[in-house]
Amino acid sequence: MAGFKTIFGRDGIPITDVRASVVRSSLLNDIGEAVFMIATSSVKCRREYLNYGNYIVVQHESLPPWVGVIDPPRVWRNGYVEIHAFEVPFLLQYRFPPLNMVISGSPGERFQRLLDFANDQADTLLRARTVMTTGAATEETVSESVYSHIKRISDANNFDWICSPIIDSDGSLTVAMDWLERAGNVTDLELTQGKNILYGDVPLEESGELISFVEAVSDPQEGGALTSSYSVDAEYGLRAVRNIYTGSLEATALAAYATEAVNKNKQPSLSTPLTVVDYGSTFENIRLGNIAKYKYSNLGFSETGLGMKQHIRIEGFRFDESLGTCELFTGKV
Amino acid sequence: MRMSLLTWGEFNINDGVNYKATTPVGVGNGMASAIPNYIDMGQGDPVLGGKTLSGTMYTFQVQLLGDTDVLREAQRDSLVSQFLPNDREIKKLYAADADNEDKQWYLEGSAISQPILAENSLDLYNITIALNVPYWIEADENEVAWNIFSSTDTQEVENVGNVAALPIFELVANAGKSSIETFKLFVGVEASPFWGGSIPIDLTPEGLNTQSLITAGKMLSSGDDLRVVIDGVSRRRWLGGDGINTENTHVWTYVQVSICPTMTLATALDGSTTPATIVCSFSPTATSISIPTNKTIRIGSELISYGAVTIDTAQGLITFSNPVRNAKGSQIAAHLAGSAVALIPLDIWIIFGDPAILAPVPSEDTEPNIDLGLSTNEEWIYTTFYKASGAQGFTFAPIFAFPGIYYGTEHNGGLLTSTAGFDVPTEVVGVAAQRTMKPTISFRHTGSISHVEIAGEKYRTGQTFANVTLSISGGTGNPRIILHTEPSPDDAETWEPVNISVPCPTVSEIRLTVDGSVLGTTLPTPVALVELTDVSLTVAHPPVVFLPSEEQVSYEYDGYIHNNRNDHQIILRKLITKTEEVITIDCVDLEAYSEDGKRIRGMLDFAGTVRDDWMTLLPGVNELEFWDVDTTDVTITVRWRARNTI
Repeated sequence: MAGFKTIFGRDGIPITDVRASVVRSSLLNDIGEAVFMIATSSVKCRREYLNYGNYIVVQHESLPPWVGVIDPPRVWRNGYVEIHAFEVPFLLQYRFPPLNMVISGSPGERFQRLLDFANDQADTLLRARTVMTTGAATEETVSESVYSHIKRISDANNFDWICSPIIDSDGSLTVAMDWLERAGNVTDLELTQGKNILYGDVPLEESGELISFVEAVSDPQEGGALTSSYSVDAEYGLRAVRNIYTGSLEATALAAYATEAVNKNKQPSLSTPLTVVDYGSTFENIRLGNIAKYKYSNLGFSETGLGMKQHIRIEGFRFDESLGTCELFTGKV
Repeated sequence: MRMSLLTWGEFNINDGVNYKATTPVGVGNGMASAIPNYIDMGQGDPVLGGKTLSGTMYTFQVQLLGDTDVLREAQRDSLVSQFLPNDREIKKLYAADADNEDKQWYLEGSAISQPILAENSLDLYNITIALNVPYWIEADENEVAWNIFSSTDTQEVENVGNVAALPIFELVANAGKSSIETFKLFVGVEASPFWGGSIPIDLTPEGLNTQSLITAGKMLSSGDDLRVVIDGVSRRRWLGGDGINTENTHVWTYVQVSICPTMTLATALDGSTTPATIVCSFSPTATSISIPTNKTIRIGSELISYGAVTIDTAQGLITFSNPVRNAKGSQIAAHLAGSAVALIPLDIWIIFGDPAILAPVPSEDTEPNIDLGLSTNEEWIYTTFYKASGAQGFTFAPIFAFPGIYYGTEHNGGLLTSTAGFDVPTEVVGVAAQRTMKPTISFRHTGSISHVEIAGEKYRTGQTFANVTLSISGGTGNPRIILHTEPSPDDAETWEPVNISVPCPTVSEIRLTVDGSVLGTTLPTPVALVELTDVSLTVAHPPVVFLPSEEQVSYEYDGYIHNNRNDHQIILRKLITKTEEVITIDCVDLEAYSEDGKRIRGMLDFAGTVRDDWMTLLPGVNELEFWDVDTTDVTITVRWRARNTI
């Protein structure tokens, strides 16, 4: 069963509802997209409804609601118009902090500050909700877009951010942005061929850079050259890299970065196209960051031969409402 | 159902003289064409993931009844002229149900091919049309007048079709409520030809006499019942001026000001009649113009609501259709050609009188940072400050930029090179700079600043003072324009006053910069401090606010319409109207509007099962339930057309 698709103005006031079959994606720490069509003969094909900058909230009975901002492309076809919308952090690409401002604090505190800068210029409707302020406190000089700084802080410190539409009791929309050490939960969801997942042309691909040794170095330009390293014994031998980290970092922080970088890359990344149907409570467990199990009987190497059984983390999904399927993008646990 | 085809648009295809129309047995029509979407499970069994209802076509046959070739050719030509594939018009194909006393139904669609001669026939033509929706729709609309005289009531409606139907509700409050009387005051915030953006605006620039309203029993003495509703949604508001229960209450809220070109009336309007359209002239610009439908314009002291809008950028004309004069409690008046016309793109009401309303929750996070007791739309005055990083940016708190020492206590508590802290809101906002620092405090107003006044204090520890400037942007690639350079304090280690008063070209941001690069490095390291206690910004293009009249008695629905069969509920969330005004909730088009066409979607909410539609009527009898606080006399007209599969 689908749900309401409501369009809100730039100030978060509901304007109208549309009937449309939406294809929408949600991505962890990234920007998903939605596409839908409106007939040009429809009463909904009005500029004030489909204006760039308006927000659309797409609801579903099992999947989390989706919210995005209408933006180009707007493709006019014969008899209908194709509308695109992007998840709201998209707007942060077009907000800039004061040039060369120095911000300091934990990753969460810097995230909060950057979000304030974004709303300083024009309200994005994004509101920080749960902000974890753990992690090493550093300072950085900001000059790029708010989005690129938030993305960089998130990547460097392994924090996740997730956006959710909030419709207040008065009907107005805001978008809650959570800054988390790790989004999602471990679920009972088991993805199994023949039960709830599609078997693609390339069901499993192992890829990525293998690293068994990391030397973490503080930025020499910031008075650094402090180093710390971490390594593991790998069957493929030594694969060493040297990573330079900006900010005023102590040896313990560098050691943590090195350990984390090795653990992240000591095994190849596994990618598998996972198109799932809502069998049982499958969709109820599809949330960004959630961990599920998947099983293949004749793919990948196990200790005893072929066959894999592994936990995966949901890092994105794309729901096609007309097909009723959800394509998952997954990563390592 | 056994359908006998009747007409296509106005054209009779089954008159028994020229044409006989039939649906051939075995022709696949209607909903049989749903496409299953199977999920490939590799070596496992495929799974049905869903299905897609593709566009539906309907094929029928028309036989020519002429008994001569000449007659048949004429009939054929007439028939062909009615079914042209390049004709984009949507028409109705009517039919009568022989199983139900010739009850009429119709399909709605468009011809997609010319009539094609059937195989082995000389006078029988196949015709195919593409349908809007794959259902027979009941030709006669059903209508039930549901009269309600208490807070709750039920009404049965029957959908004779075999698929869900979509109702249209028209609500009219015939009399006021039994217990409460609420009031509303329209506020017109006009679109600006100069700028757009969301800012705090005083909705009552002349001051609202809440003392007299409270004395008259129309408002609670606490003012907790005073709400601001914009396009149907309650917004946070703050009271300024002298506060509640005074003659000078000012109501502040954030308003999204739109951009609209300056318009003038093209043709004079008399003081009594309402034309079909009102045409305005404007100066064409390169910027695209967007004017919403179903909003309001102001000409002189009269408000006129309108329906559709047509913009002719080549001619510089804007045409407002279906105008309703003396709207929102304003008075009708004559207007000369050339009179200024202002667009009021938002429906803003100040509502009061409901004692059950919850008191607004104070929110420092979103409260405008300006002094609401002293500020006006023309002049923003800061007497206390928020630390920018601690408040949401849209509060228009000062912004701190570039490395430096920022503080919020007087004289920084005696500290020079560290921050004593911020108690939000702070009495002062200050910066301290050393040689490598260039701290900056900026203030802004989206509607542009034309004059700035700053009062505060300054301090130096060494021989030289920092380069303290007030500047504005010089444009892309150009250095900033210095409006003022603050002289050094006469004496070291002595706090001396700062008093700046300078006009500026209209800009949206001004910066006070304390450039420490001139301070030197002789130990002890020299420090310069500047702190602000009062800041005043004169607005170059202040928002224009228009209040047409005294408060009006309003009627507020605060309940729901619920279909007890399928748990579809439409919530009327403090839906503001007035007695005898028709409110339409159209579940066919998913549109809700008041009598003047104003969209009221913001005052609806929905509960019950997850669904695409606001409400459906299931086949058979549906029990509708209405509930509203203290209703005494409401009529709901329920209209619907049944739908049957083809």
